Amino acid sequence: MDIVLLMQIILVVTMASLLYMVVGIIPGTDETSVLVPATIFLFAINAHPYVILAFFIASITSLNLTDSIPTALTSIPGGVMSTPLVEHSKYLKENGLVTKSIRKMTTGSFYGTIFGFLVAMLVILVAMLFQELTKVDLKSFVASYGHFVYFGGAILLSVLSKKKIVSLLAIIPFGIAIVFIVLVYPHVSFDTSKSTISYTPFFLSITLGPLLLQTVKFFFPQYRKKNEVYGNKDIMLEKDEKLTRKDIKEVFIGPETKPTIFASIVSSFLFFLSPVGVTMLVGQSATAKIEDKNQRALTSVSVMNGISNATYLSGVMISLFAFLAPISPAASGPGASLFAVFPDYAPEGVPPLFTNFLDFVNNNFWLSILVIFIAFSIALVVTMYLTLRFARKMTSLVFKYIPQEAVIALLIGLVVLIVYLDSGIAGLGLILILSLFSGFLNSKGVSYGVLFMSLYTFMSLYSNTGLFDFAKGWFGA
Amino acid sequence: MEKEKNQNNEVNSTKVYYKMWGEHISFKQLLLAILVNVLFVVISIIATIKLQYQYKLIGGLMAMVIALVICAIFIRPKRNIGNGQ
Repeated sequence: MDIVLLMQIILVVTMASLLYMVVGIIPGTDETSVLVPATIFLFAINAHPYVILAFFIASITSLNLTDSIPTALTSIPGGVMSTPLVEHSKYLKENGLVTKSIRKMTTGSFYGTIFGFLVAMLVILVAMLFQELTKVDLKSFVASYGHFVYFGGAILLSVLSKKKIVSLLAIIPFGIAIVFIVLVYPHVSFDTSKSTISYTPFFLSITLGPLLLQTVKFFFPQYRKKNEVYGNKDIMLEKDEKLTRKDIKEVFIGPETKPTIFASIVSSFLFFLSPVGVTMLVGQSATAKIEDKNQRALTSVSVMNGISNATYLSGVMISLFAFLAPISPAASGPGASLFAVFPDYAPEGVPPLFTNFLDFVNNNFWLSILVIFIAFSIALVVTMYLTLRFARKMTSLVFKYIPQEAVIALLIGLVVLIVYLDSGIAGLGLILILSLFSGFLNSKGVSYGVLFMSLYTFMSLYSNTGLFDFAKGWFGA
Repeated sequence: MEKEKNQNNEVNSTKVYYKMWGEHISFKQLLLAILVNVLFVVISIIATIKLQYQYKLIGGLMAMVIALVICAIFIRPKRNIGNGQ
């Protein structure tokens, strides 16, 4: 790794930490919706794989850490992952413990990240040892039977979700819709240079689906009436106290430390389950025996933040390096683009940096691990410093100056830009229809993970098997 | 000053907004913000039509940042921030 690349990594990690700190504070933001387009953007500008990896790891670290700040200050969840924190944050807020709550959440994330990383390394090394001893080549297995692996993943995620039947029933129709678009695209693109459609627009259609469907629904008066609210949203921002040097030891070491570390380790092994579910389950079990109400609430916020960071990081790392497939919800949702094969985005005359991100990071395993370590370390330092010192100020600025409408419009604009440049007006039209379909399925309880797995399954079936040859004949593909 | 603020709050509390992503939004302003973003994206695509793919993307991203700033200036967040404790 040369010094220029290292500087690029440090720069992109700092930028990602700052950007996703702001995004984390904005209430209600969905992790997949805000992470996938930005990651695909990096793929599209032909960024180095290490830069993409570093960006992603810094983003999830920062996002998971700052997600909880608005919860502590206002009792409004900053995102899906901070929903389990609401009850305890509310209690702490009512008892004047906002500052302590923010500090314990922050250190919880710190321990969660560190121990999530360590457990992930342990699982990866055990998986490598297993491969070495049994001579099983997981890489070629996944390459040959990818569709079975992904189909199994889709079924597993469906069974683990709340809406099991709907999720199971959605896998095949959604996959067929994708194959239909792949088949029909060359006939409607009217652009001879664009005869095939890549993975990119499909990813964005899944990500954008729920948002777009909700926007379209607002055109109907009945839906508007149902979601009507009067006036601005009232938000009470609680005061926090300045952090002094004396406080630092108390922030990092306290009665919450051991349960947080323990819960982070346990939950990291449960990487294949929903992070929100694990946060609820392990978080509540780890604090159930604490009798003092204040201490229980403080331990809960620390433990739950630790768990969310640990499950995210371990889920992504284990999927990337041990299984070479997105087997955790964190990897199959926000991290989905890391497992896809995108078209060659290298500028004309420049050889591509890589053909497959997954192969690249696995062929350069130790350097990739080093990049992950650098990424989350910098993200933790930047985010923790700013959070511990300026949590209230930052939240106040974001709430005062960033309207939700602008954030939603920015996401839609980003998707329009990437899809148009990738597959033209026809791609935009087709993806719009698929977005509404994925949004509909999502509104019925089908998770992003199931939809992404369905995408992988059917793209793999289409490219690697002859299953759709009969349909190719119909469409002259 | 205080009286003016109270009057503004009263006017605000009668305005109809909609709930989206857990926040209050104005549907008209949302459409306007989307329009501004898409318009800036289109302008950037036209302006960078002869350039390579990566420059088109970077141009588009810059256009969207400008659109975000414009939207943030003209659209007010639908939040009343109060001080607790």
